[in-house]
Amino acid sequence: MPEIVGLGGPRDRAALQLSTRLGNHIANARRHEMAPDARRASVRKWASEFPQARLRSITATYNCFGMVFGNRRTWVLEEALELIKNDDGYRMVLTPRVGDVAIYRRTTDVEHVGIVVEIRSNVAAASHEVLVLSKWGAEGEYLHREDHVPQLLGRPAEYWTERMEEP
Amino acid sequence: MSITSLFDSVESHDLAAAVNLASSLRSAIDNVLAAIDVLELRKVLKTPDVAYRVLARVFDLTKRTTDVRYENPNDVALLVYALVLNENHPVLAVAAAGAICQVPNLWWASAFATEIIDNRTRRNDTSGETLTTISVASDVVDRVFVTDPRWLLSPGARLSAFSVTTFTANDTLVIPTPDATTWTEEAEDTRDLGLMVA
Repeated sequence: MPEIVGLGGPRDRAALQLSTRLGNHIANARRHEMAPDARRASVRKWASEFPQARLRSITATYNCFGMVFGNRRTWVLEEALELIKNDDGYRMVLTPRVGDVAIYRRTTDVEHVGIVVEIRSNVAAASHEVLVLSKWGAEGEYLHREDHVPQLLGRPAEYWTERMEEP
Repeated sequence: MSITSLFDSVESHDLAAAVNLASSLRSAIDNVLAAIDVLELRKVLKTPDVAYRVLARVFDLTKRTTDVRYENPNDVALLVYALVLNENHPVLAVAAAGAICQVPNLWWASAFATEIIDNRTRRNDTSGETLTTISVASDVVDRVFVTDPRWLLSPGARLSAFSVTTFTANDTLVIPTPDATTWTEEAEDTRDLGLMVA
C-alpha cells in the first residue's frame, strides 16, 4: 500500500532536497532506471528516426528539467518551472548565447528544455544554427540541432537566460 | 485489428519510447492519445466485453514479477489501459487504479492511478457516495492506503466477469459470479474499498 500523495514535495522520501536560489523547494522525484533491454530499444529507435542526433547518455533517472535545473540528479516536476524561473532570475532573450536555455512548446505549456551548447554562424545564408544538449524525457540525452527533435517534444519557441552582464 | 494485436502494440517498446519522451503526466497523456493504436483501442473499448478484457489485462500485468532494480516494463501499457478505461468505464478505471497502486517501480501509471483515485475521493467527499477504493489515515495528511481489488476476482470468477452488463445508480460495480460475495468495511477513521461481487 504505497504512499501516493504529495509526489515530489518536501515530505516525499523519493525527492531530493533541491532548492531554488531563494531557498524554495523544487518539486522532484527520483525515477527508477529503465531495464537494459528497454534502453537498448530506445537507443535503436531514436537513432533510426534522428540519425543526426548524437547520444550522450541513456538513463531514465532524470528528465530535461532535471538535466538543466537539477544537474542531472533527479526528475524535476513540471510544476516547479515557474518557481525556478522566478526564483533563479531567468528572463527571456531574443538572441541566445552558449549556456542559455532553449524552451520548446507544443501549445502554450513548456514541453521541453535544453542547454544551448554551440551557435554556428552561416554567413552565406545570413543565419545561424543553434546546437542544443537536451534530455528527451526518460529517453536519451542528445546533442542535436535545436529543431532536430521528435515532434512530441514541441518546437523551439524562446530562450531563457540568468546571465548577468558586466557591470 | 484484433484485441490481442492491440495489446501487443500497447505493450511494445515503440509506444513506451514515444510516451517516455514526456516530462510531465500531461504530456505523457497527450503522447498516448496521439498514438494510432491507442485510438483504435479507444474505439473498440466502448463495448463492455472489451472493457473487461482490458481490466483483466491490467490485473494480469500487475501480478507479473519484474526485476525490482528497474522500472516496471509495463508502466506505459498500464497508463494506456487506465486512461482508456477512465474515458468510458470509470468504475472499471477505479478497479484498475487500485491494482496499479499495488505495484512498485511504476511512474506514469501510478501517477495517473493516483489522479483517478484522488478524483474519486473528492467526488465521494462531496456527493456522500459510500463507494471508494481508498482509506485515508487519520494521523497523516499525505498517505493514502489503496485496497487491492484483484482479490475480488478469482481465476474462475474473472472469466464470468467479462459478461458484466450492469452498473447500479450509485456507481457500484456488479459482477455476476456463482459465488456471491459482498465486501465493504467501515474501519475507524478510514474508508475502504466497497466493490460488490454479486
